[in-house]
Amino acid sequence: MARRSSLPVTFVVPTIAILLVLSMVPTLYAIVIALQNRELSSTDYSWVWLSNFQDLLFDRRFLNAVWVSVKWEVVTVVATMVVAIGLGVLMFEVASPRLRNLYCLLFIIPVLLPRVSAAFVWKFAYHPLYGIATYPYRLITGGLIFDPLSKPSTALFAVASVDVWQWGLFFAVIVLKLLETLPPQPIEAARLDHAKRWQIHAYVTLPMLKAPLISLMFVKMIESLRSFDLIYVMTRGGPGVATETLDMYAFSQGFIESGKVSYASAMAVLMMIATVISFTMLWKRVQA
Amino acid sequence: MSAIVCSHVDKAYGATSVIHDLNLAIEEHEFVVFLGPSGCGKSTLLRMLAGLEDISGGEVSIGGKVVNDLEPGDRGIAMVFQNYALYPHMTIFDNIAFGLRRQKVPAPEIDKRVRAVAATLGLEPYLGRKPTELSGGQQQRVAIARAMIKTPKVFLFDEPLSNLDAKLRNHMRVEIARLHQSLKTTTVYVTHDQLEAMTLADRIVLLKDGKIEQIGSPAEIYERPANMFVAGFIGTPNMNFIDVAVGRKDACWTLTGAGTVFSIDGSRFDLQGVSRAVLGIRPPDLKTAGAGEAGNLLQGAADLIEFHGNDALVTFGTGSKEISALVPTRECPARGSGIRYTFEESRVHLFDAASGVSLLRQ
Repeated sequence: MARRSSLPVTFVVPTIAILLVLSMVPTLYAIVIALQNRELSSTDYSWVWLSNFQDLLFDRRFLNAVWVSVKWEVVTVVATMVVAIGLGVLMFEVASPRLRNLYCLLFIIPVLLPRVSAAFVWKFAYHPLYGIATYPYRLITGGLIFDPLSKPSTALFAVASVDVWQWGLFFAVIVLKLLETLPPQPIEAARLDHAKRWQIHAYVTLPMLKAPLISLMFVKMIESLRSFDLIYVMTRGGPGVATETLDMYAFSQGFIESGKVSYASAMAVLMMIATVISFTMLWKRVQA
Repeated sequence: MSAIVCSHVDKAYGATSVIHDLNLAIEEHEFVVFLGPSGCGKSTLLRMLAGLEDISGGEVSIGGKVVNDLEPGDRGIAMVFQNYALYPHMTIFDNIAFGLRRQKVPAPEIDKRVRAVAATLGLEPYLGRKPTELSGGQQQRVAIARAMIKTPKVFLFDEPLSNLDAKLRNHMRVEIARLHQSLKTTTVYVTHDQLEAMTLADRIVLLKDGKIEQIGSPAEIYERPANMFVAGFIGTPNMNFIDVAVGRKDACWTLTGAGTVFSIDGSRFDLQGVSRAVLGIRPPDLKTAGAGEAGNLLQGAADLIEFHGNDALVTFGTGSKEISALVPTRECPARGSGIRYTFEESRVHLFDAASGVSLLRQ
C-alpha cells in the first residue's frame, strides 16, 4: 500500500518543484530588482523601494508604450478573430470537403514558420521598392513609394498584419473544424425557419460555438502579449516610438539605451500585475 | 387537388441509387406514414420533400407548385426532427419565435402567436427555459410548437418518437393524433415502427429499397398485403409462411407442404396455372382444433412458449417448418406437449412462390 501511494508523489514532486523554481524565482527576483536601483554599468546598488514606479508614472515614453501595447492587443485579437471566423465560415459554406483539406493545410503553414522568419519574410514584402506587398501600390500609382513600416500611422497595422497572417489563418482552420463538429439538424431546422445563410451562422452556429470561440480568443490574447520578436525584427519599436510596446521599451531601457535594469524590471512587474488583473476580470465576466 | 405530388422521383448518391422512379400523390388533410425497414429511403424521401436533399430526377410539387429548386423555407412546410434539433443556446420562447423573426413578423404578433401555440401544447411554464432543462417529451413538444407556429401547408415528421421511452412514446403518439384531428394539416410521417404507422395513418406507404411496395389504409395493408414482403413486415408476431405445392382435387384446391395436405375452396385466389405457392397465416389466426376436426391441421410439439399477458406465443415444428401461433393464455399448452391447430380459410394468404406477389383476387 505504501509503495502504491508514494509512486505518484515520487513522479509529481520533482516536476512541480522544478516548475516552481523556474517560474517563481525569476518572478520574485524581478520584483526584488524593481525595488532597487541597479544599472548594468556598475555593481553597487541601493534600495529605492517604489521610486522606480513613481518615475514610470511621469515617463511619457512609458505611457506611450502602454497605449501602443493596448492598441496592439486590441488590433491583433480583434483582427485575428474576425479573419478566423470569416474565413472559417466561408470555407464551411463554399468549399468542398477536399478543397477544405487543402485550404487547411495551406492555412497552417504560416503559423509553423518561426516568428523571426515570418517577420523577415514580411519585412521584405513590405519593402517600398522591391516588396511584393507594396507592388500593387507602385503599379496603380505609377511608381510612387509607399513604405508602411516607416510611417507612424501604418507601422503598427503593418506589423499586426503579420501576426494576423500567422494566427488568423490558423484559427480559421480551427473554426472550420469546430463548425464541422456541430450537429447538422439545428442548421437544417434554421433553413426551414426561413434563415438566410449568414443568419444561420449569426444566430445558430456561432452562438452554439460561443464557449470554444471565447477560449480561442483568450489563447490569442495571451499569445499577443508575446509580440516582442516580431516587432523587434520588423521595426525595433519604430518609427520613433510608434510600435514600441511595453516589452520593447523595457528591453531598450534595460539592455540597449541606458542599462537601467531596475527601471525595466519595474515595468515588467507592472505589466505582470496589469495582465493578471485584467485577465482575471475578463475570465470572471465570461464565466458569468 | 393533391397537397403533395411526387412524379418519377429519383435520388442517387454518386452511382448508388437510393430511390428509383417513385410516384405518389398525397391528398389535402391526409395523414400519410412512410413505413419501411432501415435504409429503405423513407427519411431520404422526406428530406427531399423538405428540400434538405437535392432531387436527382423527377418532380416534386407541394400545393400545386413545383418545388424542386425552392429553398426549404419557401416550400410552405415545417419539419419535426428525430432528435428535436432545437437551438440549444436559445430559450424555448426564442426557439419557437425564430422562424417568425426571420420573416420579420412584428414583435407583438410574435408574442401573441408563441403564447397561443405554447398554450395548445402545454408549454407555457417553460418558455423562459433552455432546451437542456426540459425532458425529451417536452423538447419534442417544443419542436412541434416550432413547426406549428408557421402554419405550414404540410407537416413533416422524421421519426419524431424514436428517442422517447415507450410510455412517453404512446403518450406523444396520442397527442400527435389529436393535433392532426384539430389542425387537419396535411402530414407526412416517417417511422420504422409499425404500431405508430397503423395507429396514426390514413394511408401507409410501405417502402423497401427505394421502391413503394404498397400504398393503402392500415386495414388494407394488414388484411390484403400485396406481396410477401408487406405480409412479413406488417403484423406482430410475424406471419407464418409455408411453401406449398398447388394441386386440384375434385372441386377443391390442395396445398401440399410442411408434411400436410391442406384443402381449400380457393375461390378468393387466382390459382389457375400456379404450381408452387407460399401459404401465409398470421399467428393469431391459428386456433386450437377441436377433437373431431380433421381438415387443415397443423400438428407438432410445443417447442417454445412466450408469455405475452392475455396471449401466449406458441412456437412448434411441423415438417421442417417453424410455426408460431398466438393463443389465449388459458389454452396455452405445456412445453413439449402435442398440439393441433387449424385455421379458417378466409384468414389465409397465398403468394406466388417465384415473384412473392399475392394471389388474392382483386
